Amino acid sequence: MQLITGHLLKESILSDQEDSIFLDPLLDEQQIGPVTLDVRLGYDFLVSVVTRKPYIELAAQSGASRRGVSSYFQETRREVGDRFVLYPDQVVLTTTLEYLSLPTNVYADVLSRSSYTRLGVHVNTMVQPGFKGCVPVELYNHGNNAIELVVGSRICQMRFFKMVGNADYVNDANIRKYYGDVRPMVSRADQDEDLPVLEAARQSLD
Amino acid sequence: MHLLLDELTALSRTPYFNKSLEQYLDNLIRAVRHVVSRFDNFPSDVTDQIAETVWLAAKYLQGGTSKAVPYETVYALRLALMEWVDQPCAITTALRDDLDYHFWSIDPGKVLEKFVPDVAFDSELIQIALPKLYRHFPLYNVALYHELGHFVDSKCGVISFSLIWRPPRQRPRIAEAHRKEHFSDLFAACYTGSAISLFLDSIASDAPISATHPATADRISVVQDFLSGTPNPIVDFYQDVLKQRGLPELNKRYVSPSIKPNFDAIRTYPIADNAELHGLIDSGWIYLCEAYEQKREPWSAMSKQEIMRIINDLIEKSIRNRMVKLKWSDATNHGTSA
Repeated sequence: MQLITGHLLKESILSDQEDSIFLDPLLDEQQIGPVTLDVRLGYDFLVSVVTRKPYIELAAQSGASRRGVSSYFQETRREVGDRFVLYPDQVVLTTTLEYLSLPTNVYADVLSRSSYTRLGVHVNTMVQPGFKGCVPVELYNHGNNAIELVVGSRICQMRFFKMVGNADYVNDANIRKYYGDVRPMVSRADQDEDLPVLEAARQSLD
Repeated sequence: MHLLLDELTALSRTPYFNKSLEQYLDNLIRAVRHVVSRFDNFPSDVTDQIAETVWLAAKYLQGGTSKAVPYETVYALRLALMEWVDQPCAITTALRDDLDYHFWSIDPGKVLEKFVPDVAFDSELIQIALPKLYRHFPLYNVALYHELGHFVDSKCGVISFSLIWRPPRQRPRIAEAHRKEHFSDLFAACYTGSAISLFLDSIASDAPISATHPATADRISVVQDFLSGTPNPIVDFYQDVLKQRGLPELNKRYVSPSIKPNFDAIRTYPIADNAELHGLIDSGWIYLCEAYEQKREPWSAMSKQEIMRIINDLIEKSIRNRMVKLKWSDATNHGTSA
């Protein structure tokens, strides 16, 4: 894999070719740096809330009713320029403001910008080759103080890597759980195909 | 009435994204407070009427604070409205649990102004309801253009004038209802082209004529004649009525963008102007129908449900990106001082 840098990164983002890195909207070309691209905080949020159920169940259970993961999150929206307060130890799901489309031979990392990491907000996620959508951002405040974030501010940075081969993300339904989303989605960990197998393994006799 | 006042006050403490709605709500609270403070001076039938109107308005205004209304569609509606109505208006949407779209024509401000002295509303409230299930489906919300057509008709007196100018020969109530529906269909077609007829076909293709609505086939036929420029006496009738009223004529106020290269690559479409913003709904419907039927790449591996979700999301995000870009451009061109 090769890190895409300098004019190649800029050229790819500004191009409208099918095999380019597509980003919409690019509000300011200054977002494109020598090695990374700054991306902005989106406007839709899913805020983690405490419910009567003491934990989120993920294990497969035949016949038993299970509280949906989405019920542990509350949806809210802000406008660009509005404030969003992130409290200590709170999980908030959001996305980048930008819609991203990656070619099938480009993989990307998403990291919080240093300025935000210093406040206690760490983001560290990856984007599959061929990904389409607003990039999911899982916010967590590791600090002791609530932080006022501004919607549309440059909160994360992305670095892109060109691969030797292609990865067919679109046609693989197993890994396409979060494809084409334009707003944050709750975890679908409870839909992992391994879980029923693990449940069966648990019930089988040694 | 006290409970209603509490409800409105609670709503006012949840921020809206729209200053005109906030202003409207403040006026409403002031007016209701006046009624509460002089409750015994009002006849009971008046307080009943005020309470019912305000109660309904609270339901619609509640939608505006839910942070879940289709802001992108409402933005498009506001653009369309500005071409017909000069006076300031605030659109508020209620999310319904059933599958009904409707426009509620009684403006609470007008009711209160009638009974409460010294109360004046500087904008009119447009109350539209839509199914909660479709809040992220801008293609289905093409129906809201039709509902806006009802508001424009009511505000500009299109059908009420037509009933005097060309009275129906028989069954006047049914004729009035049908005239309203045809006008609102044509209004929607001015902005969304064939999308309104594709929508009607998808939800009520076999609906026969009723006391409130013409048969769906007739509605679609009128829209298609209008869009293709085929002479149609119903279309001509409305053009004459609008001319008599000094209102804009019915014409295509949209440009259908070529979204195929972007949507085939599952990318948003960069909207160039307002005409393309409305036309995106037309292009989106045509694209959706083709994606369903042809099952070509990149849609062949996806279920209909997934295709519908992704295409609607691309439309919603394309509109939102246009809104964000305009705001950004406005802020950078006019300085950043608040």
